[in-house]
Amino acid sequence: MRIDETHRAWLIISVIILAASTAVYVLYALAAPHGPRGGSAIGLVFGFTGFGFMIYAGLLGGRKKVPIWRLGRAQAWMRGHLWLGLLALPLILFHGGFHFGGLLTTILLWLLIITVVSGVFGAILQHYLPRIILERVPMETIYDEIDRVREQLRAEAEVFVADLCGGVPEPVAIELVPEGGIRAGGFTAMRPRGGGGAQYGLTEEEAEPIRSFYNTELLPFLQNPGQPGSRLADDTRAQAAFTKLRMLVPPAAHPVVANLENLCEEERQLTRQARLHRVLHVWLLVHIPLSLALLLLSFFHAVIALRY
Amino acid sequence: MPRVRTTKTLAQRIDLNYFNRPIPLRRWRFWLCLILPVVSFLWIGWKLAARDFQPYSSGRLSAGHVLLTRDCTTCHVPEKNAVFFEYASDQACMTCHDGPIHQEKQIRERVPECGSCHIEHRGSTRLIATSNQSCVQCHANLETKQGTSTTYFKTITAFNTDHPEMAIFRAASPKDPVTIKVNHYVHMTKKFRTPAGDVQLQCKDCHRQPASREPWKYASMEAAPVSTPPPASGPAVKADLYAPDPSRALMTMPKFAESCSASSCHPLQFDARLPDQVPHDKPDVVHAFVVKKLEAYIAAHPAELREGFEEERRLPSRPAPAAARVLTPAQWVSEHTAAAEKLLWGKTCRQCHSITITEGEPLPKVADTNYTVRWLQRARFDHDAHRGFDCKSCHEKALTSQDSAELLLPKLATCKDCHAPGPAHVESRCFECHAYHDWSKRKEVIPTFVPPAIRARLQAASTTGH
Repeated sequence: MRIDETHRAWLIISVIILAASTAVYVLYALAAPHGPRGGSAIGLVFGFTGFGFMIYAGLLGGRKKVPIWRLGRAQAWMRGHLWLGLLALPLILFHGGFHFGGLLTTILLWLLIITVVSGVFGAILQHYLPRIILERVPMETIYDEIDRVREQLRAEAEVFVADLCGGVPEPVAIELVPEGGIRAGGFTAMRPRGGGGAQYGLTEEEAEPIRSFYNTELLPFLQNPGQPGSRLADDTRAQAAFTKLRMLVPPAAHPVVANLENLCEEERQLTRQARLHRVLHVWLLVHIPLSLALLLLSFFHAVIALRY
Repeated sequence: MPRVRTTKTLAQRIDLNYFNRPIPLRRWRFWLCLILPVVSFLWIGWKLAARDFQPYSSGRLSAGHVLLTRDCTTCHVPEKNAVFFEYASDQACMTCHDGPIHQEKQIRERVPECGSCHIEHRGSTRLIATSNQSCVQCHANLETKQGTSTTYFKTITAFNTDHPEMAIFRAASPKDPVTIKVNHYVHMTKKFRTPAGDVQLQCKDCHRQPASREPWKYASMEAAPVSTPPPASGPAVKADLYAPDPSRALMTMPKFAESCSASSCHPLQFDARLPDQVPHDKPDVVHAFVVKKLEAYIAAHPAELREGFEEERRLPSRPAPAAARVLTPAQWVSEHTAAAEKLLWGKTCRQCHSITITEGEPLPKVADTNYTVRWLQRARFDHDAHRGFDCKSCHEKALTSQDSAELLLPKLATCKDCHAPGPAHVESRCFECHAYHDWSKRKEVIPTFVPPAIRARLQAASTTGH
């Protein structure tokens, strides 16, 4: 979610809550005989408020599980998650008087710190990365389908080369759609593509550079785009490679070379997208599980602390 | 034919059921979301089942209570008629400790709970280290039950701001009530003449802590056959002067026998014929000692009962006595006792003591020393904690004072030079000098607590029948 002007109200409310809490805490800390304590009346207010904010932030996950329930807009929940979750940290620090306390409270405070910091990190990523993806990955596809699209790119490349050269030495057999799967486009999508190579009128000798390029560089790159050392993985070096290839083949084959270059470009963008997507979402592996543990242990802490 | 990317061609590449397929990132997230809370729950449950409450502790216990780290229920006992709460109440504290009241006239409603001043679970801190606010909540505006004015200072908020000067200095003319005449200037002069030669005395050569075992530098016990009599028969205040104080907090009165007499500077010899020195004691003891020694002497030297007249020693204005006279032993002892006591009461003892000789009284009266061992009656001061400091850095007049009545005690401003808030200073909170509880009203607690380790051993022994 982008943090834009729609967050203004939340920002103002959060700043007011933080300022008021800080003022109360400072006065309380100065007046408290032995410094601020979680068990004092004000300490408990801070604790319960912070815990309430944490619960609200945690409920976002539940809200996402029931998108059709009329529980307010998901964006409003997300904004509340961001700002109230962020406020939970200073409130809990006020609650504990900036002391880590015993083992359970130390674990809780570290869990909260990691959760909030990872959340802030995620919010920053969510704010900037989508725009970066938009700019740097114009050929973006659905992340879950990247592997499948890659297979299709390989098949597409094979078709292009087969059309030009009249067949490739080692044809790649690719199942485009899994058994029982449904593909967008209906029957049109099942139509076979490509055709004979006679339309380009290339001799075997003229087609050899493309065939060789396909077998030695293009296909390995498409099969394993992350393999280091491939010059097609780099924009500049790939451009140079295709320029050189164009010089080796007759002008009639240049459209096919352009198509292959376009395929490589898409492959590189998919790699970039996958990397950016991982960056964009991997923090959730820390944020969500730890926040669940935090909520559970916080509940125990509240019960035990109130009792003793 | 150029490669064309239309919405349709792009859509054709997508499997519409893609969201049903497991994605590694999502799978990891699911399992972590399951495992971490379950592990947390199991951990808490395991600790509860094992009755190990240590993880729930809000912090480490203070050094004095560290034995109770795994024994929370010693202090956290269920409240009466309470089904849930188990706070550490005053009652639990009183099981082991007594907390005498602060002041008889204290407003009972304002007596704080133990835990409001002595904060536990803050690590190995001293529980006595209470904050100023604990005291200031009353002493910032001291009130009495009846609302009448108090004899104490009404407003004290901190040592460095509005703490009053020590009581002794608040008097119109502050004086040391001691009656012993000691000239500090003479004793601390650079070349102080002694029978052993010129020396430079140090403060500790006379002023010592009772627990000090260091030998006296200028004293020779062989040269000091007299000893200070045990104070058992004396008044209580005097007994305190010599009572060993293992705390090393206070200085004791300089001991005459060890620091004055033993150094041969102030011998208590009373007769040229005898090497003995009178004991440093009350006049009646001294008198008995002199008589006893003279009787013994004359018994051993009966020839001296006959006293010859020495013409050359006769004053011209005096008539010439008979050439010689023979005294009875009683007469001889009586005369020589009178002469010895004239020397003692008139010069030897009077050099330091205030002595009153009354006509018709056989023995003089020696004024009480009025030596003040403890100047701060409502505060404590520990000389031992300041042992590294040069004495005169606080007792500025100690080297120049010539009058015993001059007060050599440092004023509070001297204390404030070091005891102040801030990192470059030492502790300045109230508890550093003052105690809240009036320990003179202490009641002994019947101990019932058994340390956990010993309790376990006793239980094991009772189980096995040994």
